[in-house]
Amino acid sequence: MANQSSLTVPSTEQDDAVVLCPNGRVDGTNVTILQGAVRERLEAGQTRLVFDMVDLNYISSAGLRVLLMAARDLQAQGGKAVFCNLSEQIRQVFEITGFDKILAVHGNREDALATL
Amino acid sequence: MMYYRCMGGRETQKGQGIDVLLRPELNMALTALADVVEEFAAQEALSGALPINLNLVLDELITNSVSYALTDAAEPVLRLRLWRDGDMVVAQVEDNGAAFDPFKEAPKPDIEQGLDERPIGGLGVFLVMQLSETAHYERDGDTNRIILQMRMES
Repeated sequence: MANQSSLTVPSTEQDDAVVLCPNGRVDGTNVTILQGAVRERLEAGQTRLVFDMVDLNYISSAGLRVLLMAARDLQAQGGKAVFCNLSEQIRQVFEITGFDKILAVHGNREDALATL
Repeated sequence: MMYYRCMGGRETQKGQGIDVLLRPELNMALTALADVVEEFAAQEALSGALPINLNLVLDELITNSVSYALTDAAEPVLRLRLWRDGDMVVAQVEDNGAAFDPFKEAPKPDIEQGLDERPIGGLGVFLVMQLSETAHYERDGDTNRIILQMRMES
């Protein structure tokens, strides 16, 4: 049986911001990995985060909740979370849930970084 | 009935549908779910966004079953059936847990609210309702049953 729920969150620092690039699928079984990656940056005082979703091909409501809380926590600390390179599935769930209106979504990483 | 195991390249026949038990533990259930949906999608030649949306709505319902309804069940049973009815895909999720109607229990998110006001809960069930043509809950004896339909793309 394939491990369908694998998720890694590689990150890079670029233009004074941190780019998190979640890779795989995020659901209720592995959402703490994404949560941990965000918390690590917050605790290090890094509050300008880009979520580059280019390698993320599936997200459930468990993952959406973490993204919402991350955006909220960053804003509370005077920072910002921006999102880019959404797959078709992720774009659709962002639209259905209205996340596209409350989160900063951009087409590509350069545009996302430029708004931070 | 057997627990679902991905056979890999198993010859399945169009129209016969899938009726399986999933292990009532989140990781195993969701991993098996992805395999079941992949197999069903191949069987019925589902195209476009339907397979991933079907995976998503069933992920949300199974997560609810395992996380809420089945937590106190002595011998938890989680059953998934998928079949095709005309241009609809029909999915049925059953568990033998405490009565739990997700459509009634979940708060309905106001998608017009801003970042700070948005409640954290209720998103999963909202996605199920938005992505399904019909979705309803029934309690049948000791069984929670959710039946939903999703339209196949023409």
